[in-house]
Amino acid sequence: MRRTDLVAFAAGLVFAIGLGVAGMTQPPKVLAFLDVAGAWDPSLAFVMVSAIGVLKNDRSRNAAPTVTAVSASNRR
Amino acid sequence: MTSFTVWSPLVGGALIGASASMLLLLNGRIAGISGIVGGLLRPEEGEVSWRAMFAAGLLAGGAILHRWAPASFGAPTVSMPLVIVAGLLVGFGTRLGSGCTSGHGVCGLARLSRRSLAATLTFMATAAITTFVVRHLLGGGP
Repeated sequence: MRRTDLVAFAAGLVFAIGLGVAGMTQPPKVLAFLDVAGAWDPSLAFVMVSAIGVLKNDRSRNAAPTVTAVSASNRR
Repeated sequence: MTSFTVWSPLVGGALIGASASMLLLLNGRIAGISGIVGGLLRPEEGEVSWRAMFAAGLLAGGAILHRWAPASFGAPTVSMPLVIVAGLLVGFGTRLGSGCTSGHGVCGLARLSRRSLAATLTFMATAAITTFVVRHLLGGGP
């Protein structure tokens, strides 16, 4: 097995655990986040804030010049 | 009714950020789930195995949660056929918007992409409006 495949598997595993820990696998929680006119539960905003914070911090410590080329070729 | 929580979303978000960092720094790839899985349906040379392994990792993570933290999924709120229809709509919508919450909302915003900011604001607002219409105007939904 290639190293990139192992990295991808580990990344997928950590991502899924992260979703579960964050509460994003609970539909009522997600709906409560979107229901701004009802009993709004803003908890899930912290998921995005935290994820972006960690990613941004790692990126700035490891300047990756390949990023733009990669993101252009890799349609999200 | 759900209760406001801070620490679990922060920890979960940090794991998601760590996963995206791992994929970006070690493989040079963007952790956009919809794009990764979408690439499996349009296979290109050298683009299949890592995508399949990422998807397998996601499923393995789900299996681990199901085994050791079943509460992470909660009780089903709608019927299975509705879940399948909803999943298809999510897949269609994320490809139409060329990205999902992970690709645009996390990876795109972290690299200060204006396109991702526009996408994130649009899908968040649309989702909130949809929830408002279904829950408060039509009085339906869980």
